[in-house]
Amino acid sequence: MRTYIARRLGFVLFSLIGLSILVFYLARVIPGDPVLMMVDPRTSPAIIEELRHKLGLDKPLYMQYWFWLQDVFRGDLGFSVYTKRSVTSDVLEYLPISLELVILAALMEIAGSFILGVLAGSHAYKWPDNLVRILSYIGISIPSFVWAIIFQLIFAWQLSLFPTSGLLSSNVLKPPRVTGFTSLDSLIAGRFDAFADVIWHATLPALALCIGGMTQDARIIRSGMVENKDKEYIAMATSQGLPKRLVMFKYLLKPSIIPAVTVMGMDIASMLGNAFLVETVFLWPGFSRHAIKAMYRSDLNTIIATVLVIGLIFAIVNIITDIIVAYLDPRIRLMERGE
Amino acid sequence: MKKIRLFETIKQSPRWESFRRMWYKFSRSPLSIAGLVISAACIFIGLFAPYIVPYPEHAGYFHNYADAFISPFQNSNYIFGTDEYGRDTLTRTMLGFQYSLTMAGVVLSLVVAPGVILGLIAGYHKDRWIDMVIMRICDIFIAVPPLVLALAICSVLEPNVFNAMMAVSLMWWPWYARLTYNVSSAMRNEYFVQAAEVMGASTFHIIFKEILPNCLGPILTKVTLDVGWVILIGSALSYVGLGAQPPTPDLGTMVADGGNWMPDFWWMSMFPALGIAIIILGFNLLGDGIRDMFTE
Amino acid sequence: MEIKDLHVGYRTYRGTSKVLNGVHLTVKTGEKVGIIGESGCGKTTTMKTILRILPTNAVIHGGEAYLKDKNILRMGKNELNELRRKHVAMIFQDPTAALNPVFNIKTQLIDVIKSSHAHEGEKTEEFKAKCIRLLKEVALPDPERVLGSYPFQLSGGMKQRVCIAMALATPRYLLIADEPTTNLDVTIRDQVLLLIKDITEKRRLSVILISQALGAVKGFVDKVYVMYAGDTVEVADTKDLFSNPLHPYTKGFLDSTPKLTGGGFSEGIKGRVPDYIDPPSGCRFHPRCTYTLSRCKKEKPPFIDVEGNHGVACWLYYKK
Repeated sequence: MRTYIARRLGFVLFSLIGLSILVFYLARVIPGDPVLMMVDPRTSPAIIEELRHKLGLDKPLYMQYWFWLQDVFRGDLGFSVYTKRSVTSDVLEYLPISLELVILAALMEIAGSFILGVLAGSHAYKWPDNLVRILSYIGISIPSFVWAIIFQLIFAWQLSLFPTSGLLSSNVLKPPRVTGFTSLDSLIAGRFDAFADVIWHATLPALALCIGGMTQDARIIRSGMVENKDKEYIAMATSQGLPKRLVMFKYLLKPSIIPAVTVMGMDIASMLGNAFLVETVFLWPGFSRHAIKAMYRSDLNTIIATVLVIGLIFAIVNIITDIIVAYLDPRIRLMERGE
Repeated sequence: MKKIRLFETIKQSPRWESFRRMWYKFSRSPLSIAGLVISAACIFIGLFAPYIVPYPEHAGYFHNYADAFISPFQNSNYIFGTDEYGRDTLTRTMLGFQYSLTMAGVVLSLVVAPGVILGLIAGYHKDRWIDMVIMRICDIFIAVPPLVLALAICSVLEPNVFNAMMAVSLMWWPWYARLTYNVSSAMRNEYFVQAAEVMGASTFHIIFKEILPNCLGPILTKVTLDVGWVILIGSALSYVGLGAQPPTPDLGTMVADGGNWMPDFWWMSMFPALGIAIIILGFNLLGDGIRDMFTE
Repeated sequence: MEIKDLHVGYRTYRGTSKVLNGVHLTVKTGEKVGIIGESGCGKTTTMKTILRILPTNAVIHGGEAYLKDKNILRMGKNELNELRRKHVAMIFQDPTAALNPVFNIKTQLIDVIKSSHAHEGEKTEEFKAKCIRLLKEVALPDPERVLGSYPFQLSGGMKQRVCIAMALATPRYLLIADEPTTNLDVTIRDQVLLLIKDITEKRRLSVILISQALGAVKGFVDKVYVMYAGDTVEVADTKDLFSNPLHPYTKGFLDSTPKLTGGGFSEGIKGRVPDYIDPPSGCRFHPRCTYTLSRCKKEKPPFIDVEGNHGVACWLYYKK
């Protein structure tokens, strides 16, 4: 098991480095001279050259990459032309806010898909099953930003059940920053009103983010249950006289959820990357939305940092998913050694 | 006389039989047929949009402020209403179909062939250095969620449709290579491949005439489902302004523009969004049907 | 246990297949009964009906099945659970498919023991000890290792022994063994059959043994049923059946088995197992039978008692 994890980690590290090379070269090579982009075009060539030398941009690309890589490991992601601050401080400020949204969405997706999936699977071909199937077709066809717009229109504007945008209501004071996660900071400061307010604001965007994946996963769980229900080992378990509930929720469920966990993991891993769509609609001040604005202004350092951060989190979530799947399915865990 | 015999020969060939069997399986599912119909309708609209829309001139810069902001279903001239410039929503949505489907078509035609070929080569030469090289390169691209990579690439290029298509193509091909690799490397040790090798068939023959036909099922399924995905990503890109630019009637751009006028003039966002959803739904149902067709 | 005139079918996309076409079966307490017949003739379906573990697309068209005077087909949930826990146990044909791949043997075995309620209040160590005792009883070496293993880590023979152990985990009266050795290596078939014989004799169980291995059936059971295409075509005491087969199918079946006494290979029975969606009318064997009468095509023959315990479903033996 440990070798399995180690191999995955090494592989991820390799991918990330490769990715960083790719993005670095793209960002440096394509847009043109970075120095010229930073300064007033009327600056004298001498000063431009001096700036170029100071920033190390006159050295060959691979050396630039190497210096940059070292900076990254020290935590220095460069300077943001857009916010005029270090990119690292931008990341530290905005990333937790996005993560709050993503974590809520992830929890919703896991809970929702299990409930819907088991409901559909245990009542196959009856109305819960058909309902879930229709939901899944709708869920996958509508992009998350459209869901965001629909939810905002119906639940926020029309029904006024949820706020239309933002992180906190205007009359709620933001708690002092400890972790950067507004919800956690609220709890730490004992401000349950702020905590509830954040969750209330996050509900619609999180739902829009996860609903496509949730309905898909529910169907996968349902399919797994229906397929495995007629398998011989279930017949055998029933023939032993095991109580029906045990058979359904232990012997049938475990093999059925394994393919769903894999897909769910990938989905959650990409959530941070896809979050900007709903963050834009709901004006959620998160990292993805900030990154888009930076992209508009060709803030290369932020763009690179975004790709890396999202890539890193994607990789971490995937590894966690792989570990969970390996725990659930012993064949994967043990067959690695060629048994 | 000769023509009739040709048809009979075709009908008796095993290819035709297996096609008939697969079509029988496909046609049993009403959802798959629905998918086929919807996709065909979307393609039709995409192909002939400029000729069948009521107001072809509304595609670009156009203004008729007298007819602006008309609600849908009120006016028989503008069934889906008009936008802030007085342009007909129905027209622009249908033209948007053309853009979206073109993008899907271009991206997929660029991506499928190279991806599949690389996957076949890597799969056949499994565990040799060429396998490692190709797959590691793919893994780099797969390490990041597709949307992020497309965004990153787009943002360093000038925002227009062409660049968006290039960006999406660049990060899409590894998925085909990966898929083909998984299927072909599993098949590599099957008896029919070894039999062909023993008989002295050339590598080219083995890869393209023995292994490839068996990969067609998953590949075809993926292509169909990918139409939906590419359109999704394309519309997401243009939603944030990195793809087609206004006044081009691209579905994502229209949703973004219409978003400014929410909630009062909801139809300006809603109908293009509905258009996106219908295309994706159609191709997803079709893709599911194709997948079922190939699984016995 | 008694089954009378059982009709079971399966719903498929091509229509409803009528597999069981009036099956009869009787097992007295302590009796050992064998069922022989080619693949696909409905033996497993019948057994699954006894335990009511048929797949979701199965339909019971009619007939009766009694266990100690209680109608199995009308049993409610609780009665069925009792049936499965206390009365009947089944060993399946394919041990690989019968064990859940994602749980280890210990979990699966303990769940069976726990659910029988016979050991309520006992602790985990006692359960584990019982598991090891069971595994030793089925002659598995290194029970500790087996307990901690997953099914895919065990060989076919070992898996089947585990299944036998599960069948014995709680005391039950009737053991159904559905072709227990067909999916195993030829070299270990004997061992497993001997094991089953030992255990059933030691615990004085009633047995239904389904097997293609006629030798195994001959040396073990008291009474043999012959099934063809969902019909019970003949039943007799073991010696009688093998020395004096009456039904044309039985004759052909027994004839097809190569014998060590020489005589070469027989030609088998011409034709194939019928399509259950559109089965032959009257006697289902008539298309392949060399002695067909015109009545055979029209009416299904009733079960006729010939002498003693020997019964046949064939118009040839019908006397007014």
